Amino acid sequence: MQLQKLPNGAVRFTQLNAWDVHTFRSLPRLADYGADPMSEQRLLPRLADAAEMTPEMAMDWVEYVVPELRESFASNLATVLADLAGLAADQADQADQADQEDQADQEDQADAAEEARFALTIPAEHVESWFRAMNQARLVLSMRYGIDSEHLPDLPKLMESGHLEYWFQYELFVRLQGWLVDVVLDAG
Amino acid sequence: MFPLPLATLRSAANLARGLRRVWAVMPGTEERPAVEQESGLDQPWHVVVSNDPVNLMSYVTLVIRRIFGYSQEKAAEMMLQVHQKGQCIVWTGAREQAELYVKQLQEHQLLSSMKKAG
Repeated sequence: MQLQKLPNGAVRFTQLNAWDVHTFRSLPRLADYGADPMSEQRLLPRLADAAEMTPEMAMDWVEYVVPELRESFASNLATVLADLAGLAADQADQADQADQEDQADQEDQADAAEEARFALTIPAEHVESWFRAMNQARLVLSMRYGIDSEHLPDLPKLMESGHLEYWFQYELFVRLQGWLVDVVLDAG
Repeated sequence: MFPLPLATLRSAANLARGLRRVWAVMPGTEERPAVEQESGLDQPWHVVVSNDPVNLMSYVTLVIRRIFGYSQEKAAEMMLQVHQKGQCIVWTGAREQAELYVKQLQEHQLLSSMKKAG
């Protein structure tokens, strides 16, 4: 995978392999906190300790602010999904190109398809949503599977449960987010 | 999504509460016992960012700088305090503003809350 910031502020991912694409497409599922109370609690923590809040404060927070936060999180994921539709179109273009370039040898053609690379452009105004969607996915993975950035996870347990891939996906998001902060979001 | 900002809704709610209080002491009206708790609007509140093992340090610094307008140095110092001591008071002031800040921090997925100062 190669990352590039375009002059107009957009971000272009190129040389995406099948696993990269799979991981991007998994983002909304990985970031889904709906069925997990611990993840929901992390993403929507209380405004303050119950002892310090009046009932009115607590009620206003739940009634007016929490729905807006949910909406914001959902909007980030919707933006990612919409951008991923562009990636699907690139995939079709590249498959056509591979067909034209490599008609002679069926075996080589199969290899080319297997190693096909994809590209995705994220408009400048969507970069923040992508960052937050990846962040949300990491927070949920942390709450669900104990994967975080300060400890090595219980790898045998992740392997046994078939969740080892989540660790790789978590680490990919860490790298991408680090790049996005340094090169795009905090670049002025 | 609710069409009005929280501050507007709260202002309307405060106005309604004020009217109820005026009504309660007007001649000829029945005085009702005060049932509302002290709202805490007058006392300062701290906005607190707590550590979590997921958010990137560079991102935490960026968000603190972005929301509160602090310098890079001050935001980085606060981030380090979050990381090393577990939490940091990033702002202190009026309750409604504190609530707005906590909402913005949570929108950026930082673990944040508020607590009474003092």
